[in-house]
Amino acid sequence: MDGTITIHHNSGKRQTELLKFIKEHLSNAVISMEEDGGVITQPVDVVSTDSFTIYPYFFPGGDIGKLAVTGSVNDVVMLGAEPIFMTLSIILEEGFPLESFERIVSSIDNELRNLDLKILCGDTKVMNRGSIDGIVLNTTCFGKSVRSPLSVSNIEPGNAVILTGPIGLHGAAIMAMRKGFNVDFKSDCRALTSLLEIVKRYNIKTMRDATRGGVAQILNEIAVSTGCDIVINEDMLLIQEGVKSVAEILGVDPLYLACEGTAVIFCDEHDSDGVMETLNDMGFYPSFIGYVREKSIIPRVMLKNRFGVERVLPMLVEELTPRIC
Amino acid sequence: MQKSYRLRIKGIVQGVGFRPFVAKLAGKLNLNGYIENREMGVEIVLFCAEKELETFLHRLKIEKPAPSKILELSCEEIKTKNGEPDGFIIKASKKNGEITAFIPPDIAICNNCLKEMFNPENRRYLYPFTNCSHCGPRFSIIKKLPYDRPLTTMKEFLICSQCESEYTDPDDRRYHAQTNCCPECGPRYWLETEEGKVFPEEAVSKAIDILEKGGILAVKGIGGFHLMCDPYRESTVQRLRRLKDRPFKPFALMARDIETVKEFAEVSSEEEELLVAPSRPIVLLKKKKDVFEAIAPGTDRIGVMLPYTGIHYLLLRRLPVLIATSGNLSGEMLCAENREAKEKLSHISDAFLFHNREILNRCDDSVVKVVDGKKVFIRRSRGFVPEIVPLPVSSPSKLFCAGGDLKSVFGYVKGNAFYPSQYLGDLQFKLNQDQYLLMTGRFEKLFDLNPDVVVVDMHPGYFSRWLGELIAEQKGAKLVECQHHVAHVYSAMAEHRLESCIGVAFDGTGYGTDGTIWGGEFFFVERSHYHRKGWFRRVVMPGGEKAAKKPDLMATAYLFDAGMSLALEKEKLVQAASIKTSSVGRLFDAVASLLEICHENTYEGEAAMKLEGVASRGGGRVFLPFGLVDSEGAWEVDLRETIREILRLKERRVSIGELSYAFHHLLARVVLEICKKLRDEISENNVCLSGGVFQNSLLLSMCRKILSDSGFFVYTNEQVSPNDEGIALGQAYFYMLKERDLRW
Ligand SMILES: [Fe+3]
Ligand SMILES: [Mg+2]
Ligand SMILES: [Zn+2]
Ligand SMILES: [Zn+2]
Repeated sequence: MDGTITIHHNSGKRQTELLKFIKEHLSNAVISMEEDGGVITQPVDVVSTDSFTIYPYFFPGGDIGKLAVTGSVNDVVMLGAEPIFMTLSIILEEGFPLESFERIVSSIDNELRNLDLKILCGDTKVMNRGSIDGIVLNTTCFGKSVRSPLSVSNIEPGNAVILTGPIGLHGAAIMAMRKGFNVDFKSDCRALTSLLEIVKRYNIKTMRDATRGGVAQILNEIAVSTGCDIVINEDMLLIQEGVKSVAEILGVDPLYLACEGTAVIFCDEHDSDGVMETLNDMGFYPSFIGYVREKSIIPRVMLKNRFGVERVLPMLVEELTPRIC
Repeated sequence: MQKSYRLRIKGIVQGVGFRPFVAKLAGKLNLNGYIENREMGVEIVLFCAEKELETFLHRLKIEKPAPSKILELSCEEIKTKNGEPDGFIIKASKKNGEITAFIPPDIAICNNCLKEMFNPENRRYLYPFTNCSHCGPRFSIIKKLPYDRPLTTMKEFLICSQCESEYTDPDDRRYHAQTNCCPECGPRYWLETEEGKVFPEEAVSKAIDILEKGGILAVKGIGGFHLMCDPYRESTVQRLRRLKDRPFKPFALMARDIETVKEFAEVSSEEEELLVAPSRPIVLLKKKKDVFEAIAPGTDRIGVMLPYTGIHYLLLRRLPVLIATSGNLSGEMLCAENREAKEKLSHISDAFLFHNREILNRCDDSVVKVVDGKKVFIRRSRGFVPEIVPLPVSSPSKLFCAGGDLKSVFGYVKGNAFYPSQYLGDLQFKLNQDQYLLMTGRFEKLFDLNPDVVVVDMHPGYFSRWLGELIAEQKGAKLVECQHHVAHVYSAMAEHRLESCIGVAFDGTGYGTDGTIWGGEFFFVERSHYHRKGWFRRVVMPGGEKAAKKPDLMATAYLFDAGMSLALEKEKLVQAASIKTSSVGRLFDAVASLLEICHENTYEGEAAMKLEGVASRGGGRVFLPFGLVDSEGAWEVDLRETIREILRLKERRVSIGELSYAFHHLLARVVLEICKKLRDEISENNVCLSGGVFQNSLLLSMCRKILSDSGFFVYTNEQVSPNDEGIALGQAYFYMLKERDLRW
């Protein structure tokens, strides 16, 4: 096959060709794509689904294919479960270059093999030109909990807040590419399955990958759902210089830039040393950034500077629109 | 012929010794009658001839206690059924009728009390809490109404018999003084250092020792804590700057007396009046040549206040001038609790001068300046809050107006009274948000306010908006939006009781109705209708929000807009920028940077202040051009040629003073030009100037002159600040006019 995706790939001979193409590229990861569905042969108790659109499709550190796999995998991991199966739905815009499509499918395959994860079932659709933007992927990941599921409702005042790595890499990499800046860092896009080790060993309350809206947004969501204030220390945040300068040029706060391989872990304060140490041993660059505080009538997230001044990090109103006063 | 009259007085007439004063005045004039506290003030009944009434009223107005304020005085002849009393009596307050709308602000210690404090024979000798019916803390210590000792933080101090007898004696200066106390029964100071505590007798002298040795002292006063030190010690001043993370922002000074002030600053009679007023604000004065460069670097002004409570007078006995800056962490409101101060200020101060009376409603020092003989508020807080601003219309609804974000002040409306809060600082800080919410609760209790309408700024990311929404939700109140610069204009209209005007709002930045960032706007306003009729050509804000702190970035934006070539790095920055603004505040920043005066704002308004500062060295020998483009019936100010001309003149070595003056003058001409065009369109002669940029004395003065010369009537803010502190008042008036328009 060569050239571009056409609307004829939706049915008949061309459809069979496309399916064959996908199956070939996904090597042995596909369990079934001919049947109307797959049969779950292992016990699972957790499921998460996500759709992925991103421009550019290829970025330093990953592409939309890798992101679609790690994204759903991470959602399952954040619930404290081992990913078992995945479903994959591909929606293409008529005219999408086959060469790009091939790269994306290969990337999905590569990531699945790394994770030793199988596609349970899948689907492909082609849509008329202009009705979607290039390619949309949907993945659903099934998992099996390694212990009782993690949940925000476990969080209590005094809990420690630990970040597994530097922040804002993905968001900054994407924005830099869109603006045509050359940068020396990559998106942190990756699966976080190794964090399950932490979940098995320590009293983890909950975990969240700081995707859309970044660390600040995730913490805000947790503050609202627990009704507690959260305070984090500015000095403890790991922000790469490259990320800082992109953020500065664009006038955005790295705390609101998406991460695709960094999670926020809430744990019992007594476990914080252990969690930090284990994360270090596993090759993460963790930092103990702050605490959950007492209940508040207006639960907020505070960023504390070295002088002790606490600035409120607001919930995003419009995506990445700075508050200009 | 003997008649009977009823006088009703509204205003600050409770808690300021007003009733004893009236009783004494009536006594001197030999008039029979009585006075009593009423809900909105006092009521006086007099039995006298018409001529005597006139004398009484005349002297009442002239001789009334300094901190009192008469907002409304009505007088009518009555047929009283009550018999004429023998003499003049003060009637006991009725329990229910005593809820008053007017609580006095904190009042500086009066001269009588000072005399006692420094009289070795007096039982209050050197007692820093000395006060009387005419003076002392009020708003800062009150929890609830009525204004009675048990509902203030004086409750903790059981009044002694001597003080009690003063309190109950109508002839005493301390008759009904709720804060009356003495060394026997009142609050006390102590000094805390690393070594431990030192109690009253020695506390003050030890504290002075520390100051004299170049130490930094945290002093609990009326509205909160000050950090104090010797302004003449370079090393101490630098240490304070370093520890407060405040490299250039001017510090306020507290000077022993007016003579001391005159040694280092020029003081006009209006400024002197403000300095010695019972509200004791910080007054921004022109400093004399080559003084206090380290205190107020790069500006020609210095903020000075006189002492306003006993402890200040005691501390100033040896050093004639002290730095008296807010005891806070950068950006936060000042500390008011002992524990809080210790937690936050320990790394800055060498010792704490604590007292044990709680401060309930913390207030920063107010800041004012005088422009064209008129008072301009830079910050309206201690000494003024909770005075109301009377409105020209009355509202059937009760309003809560959330105000702005950077210099937050909220306000309530009940009837035709607007109740502005004290300055609550930048709402991005947690402490300030907490204080904001706390104070809304307190205001509601104090003034019996329960809003059914909440007015907020349009900015979707404003905290004040968020908090306003929260309050609206709690109360089930209706939520209304008001655009930022429109609110600025309405704030001036409200003060001057205008229903229509040409509104000029020059500002930092605010969210426009079109979702872009405004800040240099011209409006037609008629009742609740407004039309945007002019603006400054928009330029980008490189780096977004950061551009407000970086005048050099704004200069880059203007250079780019003017078609000048830029370094690649800078061009990249401009091209990456996504936000555009018409802000005159940012224009000031850009020009200050172009003239090499200031490239970074380490505090808000630094570049603009410094630009204004050098303009006094210029004298109008240069004129800068500007363009006006008709944009569908509105006017766009095009400054691209102006920027190019500034650069050309700079190259030709025209002095920066001259250029700065020319820039101010240019803006005044722009204002005039557009106002004239608008007048031609709708024959409107009233012009309201508001927004933070009009804190600039030179610009304000030039605009006033140039407009008046062309037959305009110019109105500016006098009761609230032209900066974002005034937003709440504008929000209130805007909504009230809208409500009225809808009723009609
Ligand atoms: Fe403003
Ligand atoms: Mg999801
Ligand atoms: Zn007094
Ligand atoms: Zn006493």
